[in-house]
Amino acid sequence: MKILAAYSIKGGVGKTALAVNLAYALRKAGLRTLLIDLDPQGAAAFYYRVDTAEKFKMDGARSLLQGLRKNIRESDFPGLDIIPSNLAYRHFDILLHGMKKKRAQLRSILDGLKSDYDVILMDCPPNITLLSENVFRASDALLVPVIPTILSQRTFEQLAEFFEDKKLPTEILRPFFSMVQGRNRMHREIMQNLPALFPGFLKSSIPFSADVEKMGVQRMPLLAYSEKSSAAVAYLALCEEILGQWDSES
Amino acid sequence: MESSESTSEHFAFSEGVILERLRAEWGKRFVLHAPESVSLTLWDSFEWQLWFGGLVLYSSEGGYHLCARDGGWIGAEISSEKISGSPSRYAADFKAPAAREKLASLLALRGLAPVGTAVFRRRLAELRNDKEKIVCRFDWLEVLAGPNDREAIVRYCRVRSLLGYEMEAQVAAEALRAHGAQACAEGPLEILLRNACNLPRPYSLRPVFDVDHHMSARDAVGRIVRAMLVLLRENEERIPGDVDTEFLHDYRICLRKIRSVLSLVKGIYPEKEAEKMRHLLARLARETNKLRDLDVYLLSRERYMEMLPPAFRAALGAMFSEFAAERASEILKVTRTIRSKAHHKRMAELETFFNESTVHDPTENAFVPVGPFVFQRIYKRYRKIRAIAATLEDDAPDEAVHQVRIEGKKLRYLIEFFEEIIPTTEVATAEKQLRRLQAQLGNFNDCSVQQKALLDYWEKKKNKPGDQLGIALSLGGLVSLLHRSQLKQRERIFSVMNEFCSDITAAVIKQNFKSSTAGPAATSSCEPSPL
Ligand SMILES: Nc1ncnc2c1ncn2[C@@H]1O[C@H](COP(=O)(O)OP(=O)(O)OP(=O)(O)O)[C@@H](O)[C@H]1O
Ligand SMILES: [Mg+2]
Repeated sequence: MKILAAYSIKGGVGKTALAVNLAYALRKAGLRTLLIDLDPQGAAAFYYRVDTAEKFKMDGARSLLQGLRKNIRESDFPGLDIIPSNLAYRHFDILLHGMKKKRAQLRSILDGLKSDYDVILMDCPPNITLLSENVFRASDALLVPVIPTILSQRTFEQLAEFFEDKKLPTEILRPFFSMVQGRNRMHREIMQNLPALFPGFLKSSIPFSADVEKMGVQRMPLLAYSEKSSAAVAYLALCEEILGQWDSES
Repeated sequence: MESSESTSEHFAFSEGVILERLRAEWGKRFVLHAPESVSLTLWDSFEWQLWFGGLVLYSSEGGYHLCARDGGWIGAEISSEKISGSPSRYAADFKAPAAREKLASLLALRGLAPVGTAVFRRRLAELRNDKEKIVCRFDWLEVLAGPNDREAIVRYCRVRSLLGYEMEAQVAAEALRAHGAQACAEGPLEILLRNACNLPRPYSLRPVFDVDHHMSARDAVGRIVRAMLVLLRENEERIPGDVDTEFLHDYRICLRKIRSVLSLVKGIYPEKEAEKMRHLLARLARETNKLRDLDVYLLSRERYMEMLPPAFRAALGAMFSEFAAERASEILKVTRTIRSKAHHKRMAELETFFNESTVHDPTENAFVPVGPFVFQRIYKRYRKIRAIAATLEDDAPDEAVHQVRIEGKKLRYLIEFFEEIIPTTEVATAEKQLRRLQAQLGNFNDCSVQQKALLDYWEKKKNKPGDQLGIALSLGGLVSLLHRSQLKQRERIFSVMNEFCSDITAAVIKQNFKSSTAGPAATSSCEPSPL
């Protein structure tokens, strides 16, 4: 089982759009996929028409796994399940604080789902908390959308520094360009220079496309209603790139 | 047709109006997709090995689909492939490796044939909640048969809950029930097969005979033979269809078993009449000897080819082509025989002889209780084998070894026929030893029979035009390999034989079968055993 996370310190960069569409693409490739919405705003689950989760007890690792399990919802697309967000996730941090190995709990909790899924994908809120540190230590890859702008580049560099400071495995950082506007000179320049500095940069990038925004009206992944649109094709290519790398690793 | 891990419930309906009613009840939340019809043919072997092995193989629109069997439903698909050329009959004919492997392990030498056909008219539907999220799926299925496949012989609905939405599925199932749906035990596959009058049933060459210890010997033998005759006919009628070689194989086993029960327990029928039946059975078997030999040769084709280096294979290939051609004409001949009036008369004669209502003159063993009588026979047979084995030295001639095989076979048949009355648990080890011994003797015998067959072929060929040298080389190679393996097999015989003839086994056999000590036999009217 592989664990992925869509993560960025910066808000509004396309994390949820990625998580929603990549989850769809992974199941389409035949993988049993679980999408976990860790953002209390609940956007990822909303795009799949799934209501927020029921409250559950979170007083230890075991109850956490049970609670997550109880909240698994089968999506409209066979092979893809969803754990919707829960306002109580705000209390994750407090819970994790009280645990031994408080920074590595999430991995062992998610390992409890190993037999049911080939891949787990988490959509994360834009902050650095004890929960995000757990996400870093749980993930085989952290997919970081980077809009080709100075500000966005800076937040990515901050994340990379954080990884180095905390001695986190920087090789899991897999940035990719998001909301790319080909006609924008600054976009083009940053795209030319930044990847050389980070070996983990994914080759696929997601273009800016109004079709993505329609997900809010359609309440389904872009790939489910407009498979041919440029952004949809880009999400599929990004999925292929990730799967190809897993293949060559094994 | 994929399966889901989530729970599902099946319902059957007697009428087709329910969809309208549900639409009225659920309105726009109930989304009904267009129906799709497929005509499908199920395939299985005579023994229903796929069915009992948990698989379904069907053909539809030019393709084969191998699926898991989910009760009476088609489950998750394992593989599919296009049908090209004539339909696949054997595991090896399938292209998809997954199918080939699964089928080979279940079918062995058996072939596939259609077992039933119907049209499945399928319609998917779903129920959505107020957020328009799917909360329950429905799979409507009508099995159509009759003239032009117009008539629905059954209507199903499978209600599938989605993980996390079980409550909603329960509510939906409740609504179906309110509209007249009934829980059903049988799935569409069972309905299809029932409609084809072809329901899966286990097959065995060792049926239950229903004999007991105190029954008269004639009654018991009659039951055994009648059960074997039923099997005989089932196989006989399928030989001409030639789906696989096992019908002939099993037909011959039935003939041999009936014949041997008549010689193993003598004095049950007037000897002259019994003798006549034995002759008849021998004759029926003889008529198929050549076909069976050819089957055996052809079945060993792959093995022989692998035994030889590639350069030697061409000549062997020619030999097998000759056998195949010979077999093609031999199966026609056997078919003609089986369909002949004379054959029917012989079969009728057999059946009449063993018919329950046929009265035969009394004979010395006809009315003794079968238990003690058979126990005595078993004990005698075992002692005979043990006596022969005691005289065998390492260098005993093959004929002597062969004799052990013949005697062993008789004993094994006796044990098989009367399995229901012998203390199976007590003699389980002895039985296993006997089976091992017979298997070993069988391997040894096969090697020698195969060498002889190859040498016979050479005798026939050596003075005819053709690739003499090539044939001689490959036959010579095979014969020497077979000879070597025969020697190896022979070496192993003695250790298994020693086990079966050990003092411990002898004591067990004596304790269980010798009449003065065998439980129920002690009260019998049988004479004391001469041994
Ligand atoms: N490739 C794209 N082209 C155009 N619009 C996009 C694209 N990707 C995302 N968007 C839009 O940008 C907005 C923010 O995207 P998204 O919600 O995916 O970002 P996020 O990083 O998850 O945000 P947050 O930090 O709030 O969770 C949304 O309205 C979304 O529809
Ligand atoms: Mg988001």
